[in-house]
Amino acid sequence: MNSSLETMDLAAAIRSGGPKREQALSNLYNVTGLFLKIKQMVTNHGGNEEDARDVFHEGIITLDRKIRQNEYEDRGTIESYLFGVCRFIWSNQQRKNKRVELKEDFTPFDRSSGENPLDTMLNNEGQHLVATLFGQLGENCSKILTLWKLSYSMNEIAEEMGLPSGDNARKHKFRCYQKLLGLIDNSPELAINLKNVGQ
Amino acid sequence: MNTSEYTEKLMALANKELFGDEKMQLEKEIQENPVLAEEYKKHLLAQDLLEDFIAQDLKQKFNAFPLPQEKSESGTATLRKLNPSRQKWAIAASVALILGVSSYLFIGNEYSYSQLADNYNLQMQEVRGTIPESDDIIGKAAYYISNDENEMAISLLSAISSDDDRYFTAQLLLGNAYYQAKNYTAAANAFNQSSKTSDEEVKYQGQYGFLLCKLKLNTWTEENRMMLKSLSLNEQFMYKEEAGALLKKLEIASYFN
Repeated sequence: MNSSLETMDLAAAIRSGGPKREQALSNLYNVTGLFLKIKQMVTNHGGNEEDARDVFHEGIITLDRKIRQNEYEDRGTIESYLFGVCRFIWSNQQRKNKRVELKEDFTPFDRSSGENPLDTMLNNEGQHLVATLFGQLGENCSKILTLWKLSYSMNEIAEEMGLPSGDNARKHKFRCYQKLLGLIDNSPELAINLKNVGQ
Repeated sequence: MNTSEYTEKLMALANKELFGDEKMQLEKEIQENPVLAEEYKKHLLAQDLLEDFIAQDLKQKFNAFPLPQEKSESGTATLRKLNPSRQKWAIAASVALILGVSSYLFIGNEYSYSQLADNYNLQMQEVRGTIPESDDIIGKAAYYISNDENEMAISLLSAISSDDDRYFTAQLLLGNAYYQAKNYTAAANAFNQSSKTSDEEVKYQGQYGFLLCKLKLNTWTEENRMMLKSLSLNEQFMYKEEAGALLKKLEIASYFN
């Protein structure tokens, strides 16, 4: 694919969600030279190819989310924006790694220094929590809610899920959403989090 | 409205599908009704969890993809390098505002002011290589800050008096050093001092640093919000977009703080 992407088109496709978003992300993923550019940035700053791959993936995920949440402004090219995001991610990662290293070497139990040296562990816990929660929600409900969140229309959801109509998909979506709220209510980890909100 | 209707509306509001009068009316109700506000928090959490799930799902898909062909293309594979004069300035004063990726995973109270500030960390522009020459106090301090040796930086920068040309830049760096050392009160004072300069780059970054401190100190005011708004609209401010994104997050946070 040619690297001179039409920023507006790609952003609009991601924003509109559904199959167009998937196509746009796939196109972005395969832009000629983009991964190489990010790999060079990461390897020039102490990382390896695996780090570069992770940063590249995180960068596209970040971009996708920012566009869908209207936090992205259509200025410049989308590639340069993605490169900037990746640079921030790598820089942040290095900073965290450095702090974890320092903590292990010198002050294993000191919570007062460093921004948040336990980030990695918390991230893993967070991932586990999300996986558990959506496991309890069930595959169908997780998929319906995901499609809804990704702006699929009710008819498209019905088609994807093999449901008879858009109205039927809407009812399923509502039931699944209520189930998710119920799981939030019944999750001790999330209950603690809710309690802490605002403190 | 019955419970189901409220759930529908709150779900739509949390997913940004509600507009105009309907949106305003519901937001007003949430502000006036603590029970509804509590319920709304749950909906925001549900939306965040869905986003986290989508991110995890996408990551799994990407991991299964082959990496793109590594064919270089002229013009696109060149890394931007700071020219020496920009680098000098960057070492001296620039502050990169990093949008944290931690919000993709569910950690802590995402909507507390303090946590919001964490997602917009301050960080010095990359400073690599050996320590600058001994008479370059600003460069030296920047080096220490980039290595988290904040006390060293504070000691150097505090010696620069207000009649020195480098005073405002030094205060901006001092703000960074104190911020990293989690002394947010001292950081706020230093950032505030730096924002009194006529050098616009230093001034706006000082203002932004000051605002992050206010979030950390949980002393956020309407006046601060207006200043952030002004920065988010300011074409001269290099982190205008980050300021705009933070402003949006704060709209949600106002329900919780």
